[in-house]
Amino acid sequence: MENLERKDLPGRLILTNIDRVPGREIVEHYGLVAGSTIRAKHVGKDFMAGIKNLFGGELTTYTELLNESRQEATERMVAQAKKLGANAVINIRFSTSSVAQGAAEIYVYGTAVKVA
Amino acid sequence: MDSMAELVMTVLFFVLFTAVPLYFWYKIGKHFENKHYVSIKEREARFSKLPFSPSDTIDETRHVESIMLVTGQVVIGSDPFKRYIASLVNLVGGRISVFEAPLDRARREAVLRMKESAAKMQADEVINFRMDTMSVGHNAGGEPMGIVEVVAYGTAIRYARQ
Repeated sequence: MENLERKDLPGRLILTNIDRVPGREIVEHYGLVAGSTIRAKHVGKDFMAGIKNLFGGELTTYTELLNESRQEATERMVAQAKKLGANAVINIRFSTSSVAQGAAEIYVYGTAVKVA
Repeated sequence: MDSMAELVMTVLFFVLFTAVPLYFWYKIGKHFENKHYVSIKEREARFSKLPFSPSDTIDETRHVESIMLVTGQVVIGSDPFKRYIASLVNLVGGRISVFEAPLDRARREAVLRMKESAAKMQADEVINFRMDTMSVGHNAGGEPMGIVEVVAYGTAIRYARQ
């Protein structure tokens, strides 16, 4: 979520998983916005993860994979919110499921609103 | 005499192909686990002043300067020793304590990563903290391989400085 952290840049939306934006008032509701993505790593990296799984501990390739997926899904959600004219997405939820070997689906959803 | 030789061979095979490799994996797994715990404890001490809570109440008396969604995620696997023991325990049922440590490590690591990105924006607290655990990675037979993903997320709050 590296690029979502630079929230102070112009054009960035306020993202939060609470149901309001503290200190600001919600003036308009645009309803649900969502983003999803399914990604997989190439066979070589899958193989490396298999090797790593012999030693226990973190599987960096999979962490990376899910990190990228979550970022992409969030970006899609943000793009959808921007198209509606929102400047914040509240009540964000993440959900993950593994759909095939080495592939994961990430689904991100929230409520697009305009705050003043 | 024949049955004696058979017994010796069986024991020898067990020691050579089961007990020795298991001990080897146990040692390796333990080594990486201890190393990880040292790093976890060190970072937990560093971030102990950053509270996080699953409730969504904020300090209404202070002015909120900025809020941001922060996440931390980690995928953690288990070593063959743990999987072997787990498959044995599965036969008789009961508590599979060998899998408790990997899950504990994954949870604490995910929280630490979330706190790290909250600290980057000089947050005072993280509210509405949520954590999801999911089993990822299946072998060809569709059996889980003891790999879990943990994602921790919440809203980081920075109050205006007086």
